[in-house]
Order: sequence, then C-alpha cells, then structure tokens
Amino acid sequence: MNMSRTLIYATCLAIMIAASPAASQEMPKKYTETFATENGAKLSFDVVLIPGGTFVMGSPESEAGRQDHEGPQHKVHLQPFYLCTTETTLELFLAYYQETVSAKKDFFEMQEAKKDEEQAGKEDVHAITGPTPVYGDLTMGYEETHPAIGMTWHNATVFCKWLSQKTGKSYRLPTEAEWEYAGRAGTTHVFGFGDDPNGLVDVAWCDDNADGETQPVGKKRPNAWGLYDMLGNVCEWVHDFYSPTTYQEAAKDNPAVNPRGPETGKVHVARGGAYHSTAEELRCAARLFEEDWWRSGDPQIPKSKWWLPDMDFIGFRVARSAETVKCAP
Amino acid sequence: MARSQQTQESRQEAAVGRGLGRFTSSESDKGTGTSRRDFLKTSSIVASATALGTLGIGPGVFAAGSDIIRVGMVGCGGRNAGAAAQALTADSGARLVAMCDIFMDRVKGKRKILKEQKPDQVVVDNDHCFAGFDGYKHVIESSDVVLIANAAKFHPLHTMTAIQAGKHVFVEKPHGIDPAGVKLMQHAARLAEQKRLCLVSGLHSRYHTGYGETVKRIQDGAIGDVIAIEENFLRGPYGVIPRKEGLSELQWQCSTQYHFRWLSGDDVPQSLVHNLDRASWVLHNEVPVKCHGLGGRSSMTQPIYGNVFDHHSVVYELDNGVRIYAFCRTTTGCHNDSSSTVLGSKGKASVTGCRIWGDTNWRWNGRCNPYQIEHDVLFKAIRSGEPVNNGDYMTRSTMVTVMGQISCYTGKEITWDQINQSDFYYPPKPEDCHDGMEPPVKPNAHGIYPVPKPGFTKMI
Repeated sequence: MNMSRTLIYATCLAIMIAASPAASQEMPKKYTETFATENGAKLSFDVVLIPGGTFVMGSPESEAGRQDHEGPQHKVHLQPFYLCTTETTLELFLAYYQETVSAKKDFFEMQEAKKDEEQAGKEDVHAITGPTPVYGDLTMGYEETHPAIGMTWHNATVFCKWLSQKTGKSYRLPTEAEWEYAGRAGTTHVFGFGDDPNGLVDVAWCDDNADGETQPVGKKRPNAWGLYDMLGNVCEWVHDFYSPTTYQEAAKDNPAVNPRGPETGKVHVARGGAYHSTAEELRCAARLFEEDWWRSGDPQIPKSKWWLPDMDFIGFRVARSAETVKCAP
Repeated sequence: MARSQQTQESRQEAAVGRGLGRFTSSESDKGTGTSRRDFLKTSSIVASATALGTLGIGPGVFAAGSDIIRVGMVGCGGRNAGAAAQALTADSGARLVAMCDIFMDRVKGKRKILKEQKPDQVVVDNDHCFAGFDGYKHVIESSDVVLIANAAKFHPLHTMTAIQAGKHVFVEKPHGIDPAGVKLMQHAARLAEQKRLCLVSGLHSRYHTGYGETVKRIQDGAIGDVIAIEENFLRGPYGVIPRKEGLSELQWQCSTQYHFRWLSGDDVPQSLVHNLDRASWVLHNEVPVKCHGLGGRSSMTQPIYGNVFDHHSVVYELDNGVRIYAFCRTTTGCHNDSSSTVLGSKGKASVTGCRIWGDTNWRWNGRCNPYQIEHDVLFKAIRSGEPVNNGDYMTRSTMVTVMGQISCYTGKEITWDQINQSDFYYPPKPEDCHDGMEPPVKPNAHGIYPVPKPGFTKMI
C-alpha cells in the first residue's frame, strides 16, 4: 500500500508541475465529459471553462429584495474553473445511486470483499459508501431529464466523489463565490442578463412559468457564459457553510481570493432559487441556506444523512478546478 | 407528480412484547388462533377492558400549557425517536419520562440524541430505561401518553394495554399484522372511545393538508366518478444491518424486524398501508369485497433478508365495481415509484402529488408537515379534553392490507368477510413473547429461512 501511495503522490506532483500556469492556458474552453456506468450505459454532460477574474460579490443596499446577509458588497478574485452547463440530472444521479447504494450488496459479501481488498493492500479503492436506499422514489415522479432533487449536501458531495472516480477528474461543488460569479457571467445586473424581472421567464423556470414543478434542464436561454438554469428550476448546493457574516469576513481582504466561506458551520448554502421562486429570490445575489423544515419530510431521528424527502426544489451542479490537478491525500 | 419520499435508514424499530413462550413451532404447523384458550384470552382482555371503561376512567385533566404531560416511548427506533421529538415540539408541557426497547443500547442511544435536541423536556433517568419484551408495561405505568412504534406485531397489544391503563396513545402503522391483531386494535379503539382517551394513528396521509384538499375535490366530483385507483410503493430494500456477534437468533430477528414476517407482517401492511389508506379515504372508507394478490422473492433472497417477499401486487374489487390496483416492491436497481393515482370518468388525480387533471386542472402548492400535525392534534385534544380517535380508519385500512398480504402468501382470493371472520395470527401471540424464547422461524442448514409458497401455504 505504501508503495502505491508513494507512486500516486509522485505522479500527482509530476502532473501538477506539468499543469502549472503555462499548461492551464491550454485548458479547453469547453468539453463534453463522457463515461460509462457499470451497466455499460454511456452518460455525458457539458462543461465550460469559467475564466478567472475579479468581481463584486453581494448586492447594493438599494437592490429591491436585498437581505442583510448579501452585504457588504466586496471584491472577490477567482482562479479559472470549470462548471457544468446544467444542473445535475436525475439520469446521472440515478446511475450514481444504483452503483453506490449501501444496501446493494449482501452485508456478508461486502465483508468478504473488504477482506480481499485489505489483503490485496487496496482498502481505499472503490470505498465510496453511497446513500441508504430511499424510502420511496428519489425521482419523485420526474423524468430523468429533470434535475436531481431531494439530496442532502453530503449526498451531493459523495456524488462528486463518485463522478471523480468514474471520470478521473476532480469534480466538486462550486464555492458560493464561484456560483455567484458564474451566475452574473461578467455583468453587474440584478439578474445577470439585466435588471428587469420581466425577462426572467426567458432564462429561468420560476413561479411565473414552471407550473409548480421542476422542468428538464437546459431548455431556457443560457447566460452569457453558456450556463443554463443558473436561476430557477432547482436551488443549487454550493461548497460553503452558511453564515450571515460570511461577507463581512470576506470583505476584510481586498480582494478576497478564492473565498470558501466559514470553516465550520451547521448548514450549507444553496443558490439560484427554484421553480417556485419569485423575482426577488432569483436575484444573482440572493442567498438561501438549509432550514429546519427542509428535513420535515423525514419523520425519523436521527434524520437521514442522505435525503431530504419531498424537497424537490434542491439540487446541484458540479464544478472542477482548472489550474491544478488535485490529488487525494 | 408523486412527491412521497421518506428515508429508511434507522428504521430499525425493535420488537417489544411479553408473556410465556408457547409456540416454538414453525409457522406452517401453527394453529389458526381459534383455540378455546386463545379465545378466552382475547375475550378476557376485551371483557376486562370494557369493565374498566364502564368505570368511567377518563383521560387525565391537563390545564392548557401549565400541567406536565408525561410521555413514554415503546420502541426506540428512528421513527419513534422522531415521534418523541414531534410530541415534545407539539406541547411545551410534555416531558419524555420513560423509554423501552428490546435493546438497551437503542434506549440509551436515542435518549442521548433526544436530550441534545430537547434538553429541558427529556427527563428519562436510568431507572426509566427498560429493555426486553416486558419493558412496555413499565413505560405505560410511568406515562400519560404512550408513543408506540416498534415491531408491528406488538402494536395492538401495547395499544390495548395502554388504553386499559387509561393512557393516551400515538401508534405507528400498521395497526396489526394479522386478523387477530387488527381485531384487538379494534377493541382497543372502541375502549379508547368509551374511556374518552386519544388514539392517534401514524397513517400520516390523513393529516396532510394537501392530500386532504385533493381527496375532498375528488369526492366533490372533480374527476367524475372514480373508476379505479393505482397505488405504487416501489423502492429500495429496507436497510440491512450487520449481525452483531453474540446476538441470539431471536435478538437478531428482532434487530432486523422488517425482514421477518412474524414481527413486521411484510410489505403490504408495512408500506402499502399508506397507499391503501389513501385509496380507502378517496372511496369514503368503503371496503373491498375481495382481493387477489401475487408476490414472491426475486433478488432479496440472501439470509440477511429474512423471510419476507420482495414484491407484491394486489387487486381489490369493491361492491360498486371500482378496483384498486396496488403494487409494492423493495428491490435495488428496479424502477421506483411512490404514487396514488385516481382514475375517474372525467379526469384523473394524484393524491400524493396533490393534483387534479379534469374539466378544471388544479394543484395544491402548499407545504405541510403531517408528522408534526399528528402530534399537534393529539396534544391539543388532550389539553382540551375533547379526545381524538383514529380507530375507525386505522383498523379498516390495516385490515385491507392484511387481506392483501395473505392473498399474496396463499395465492388464493380472499374476501372481506373471510378476513374478518378469521382469527389467524403469526405465532407466537404477542402476549406470549418473552426474552430468551425460541424464535418461531429458524434458518435451514444454508442459513435460508422458509418462505410461503403461494398455492400451498394455508393461513385462513
């Protein structure tokens, strides 16, 4: 095991050197990620390069619907990163669920397999423990082209691990700053495309047009950076813990560089509003975070680590760092 | 649009019971539960209950907001811990005072979690933590309100014992796993009514505002005449847990009770009871005349899955010709669906999606927490002295599922009259269960437990 770890570190180091600034300029502006499931099905999704840069995060006090935690506005500098053009679909999430669901294998078989792996010195391989089975239907009746829904933040991050293992690239949730930067797509407007909420129906599934349910991803007009459904359809989990004072902390640096939110916290941030959101909730600066009632569909204690039953308004999209190749320790 | 999804990790509700171990035989050679001894036993429970009822023992009188209401937990799985938190949330004067489970580690574990969440309301000392089949008696003794969520085999006995003792009850579904059990629950419900005690069911659909609005519209004719109802609860398996070293066969079965039918009653009572309760509600609680069911094991065949089926389908027929097509499955890698769809002469409705497609389309866009509402209603009723009693629909809907389950096991058509005339039970009787007894089912040399063979298995 030690030998193989050393080898991995050495390889990573080599890649990191190779991928230092000069190499990053050769990063593709967009690409289609394709991978195969255990069943042999081919799945794919589109990813675009979000250029590095500096932007003003948060909303001005004059913005209609603004809440205190959206301020103070402050400068943020971000490295380039990749972002999936769509919210993660149920098709992808179902594949992950089928491959990792924890009750999939007979317990004794799992134990045997673990023993074999330990003997072979590779106990950390294939070790992703996926969700417990849903007590019901994780699609909540939606088609596979709709966004994945009702997962906890933890579940979304385990999906990213699984996806990374399938593709060999380090996918993760975007940070809150990355999300807002991508949502604004180089503009300073309230909704990215402009300040007039009447234009929302062209870019977002929301209270005015979604008929009270999620819609297939990628059907509305993308924003200036080619990203679909950043506003509306489902709220998107981001990396950061929530704190009402996140921006006060970040504003102490000018600019804040690649901020990642508080180091600890109780709940995480979700961005972008959902199918039932009004214009105020769909502003690029609007912040949402997990509230107690998101778990009210789970009648048990302890609450599930994996599922937010009945909560069909919460999903996520995946990101990937562009400049460095990350190695798992 | 179906929106019904719950979690199941930690749905490891434990079995709790009491009594002498009389049945050690396997299910195939057990009696139908109609022996004179059993009849007398049941009758005496009913008779003594009725006698108590006539004494006019009513619910304790609790002044609004001031007096303390003592709450006890029978079963310390994830669901009852959730119910306890909901009870303590519903009434600031509620105090959790006693807990029991087959396993003491579950009692202590849940006490710790609940104490963290409700530090001022969880006041269970070590002397009020009970383990084993007899623990429920002590919990009932110590409480004003008893929360019962353990192996469903014991729901009727524990409810009856609590009601006899003059205690209010919240009890999870299903409300019995066999005809004898459901009948005992019916008696308990009637006794609760006589004694003006509250009896609230964990069939949460009836407390869901959106489902209620949808059912009302269907009943008001929004989709014309109801022709048929399709009920689905297709999902992944109940969680499997490792068999800890040192557990006896009995303890092992109790620790994974969903996988043993003498404890859980299998998946038609366990899961489809929610669906069939909604169907029954839509149909003004009219009962089916008969049903036929199909079921078996496809992929859940390893020893860890005990002796339950992993898929069932039941067709129910009502006197007016309306049919209910009901399906449940607990497998991995298959299509999942959780829905209640009502087909009418002028449209269709999704009860779980709170949606109607008809001359006028409609949907309910609110959100509610029926699990909390159940307890809000219960404690409000206790405080006001106006008891709430769900006994009528909770026992009827459960009997509908028991009828379907037995049809799946036996392969025979089962009529409503037949199931109601039967005193069948999965041995041993709940009151005969005791610590250290031989479990009624045992694995063969390959670790496999016997399962019913439709066409050959006889139950009623």
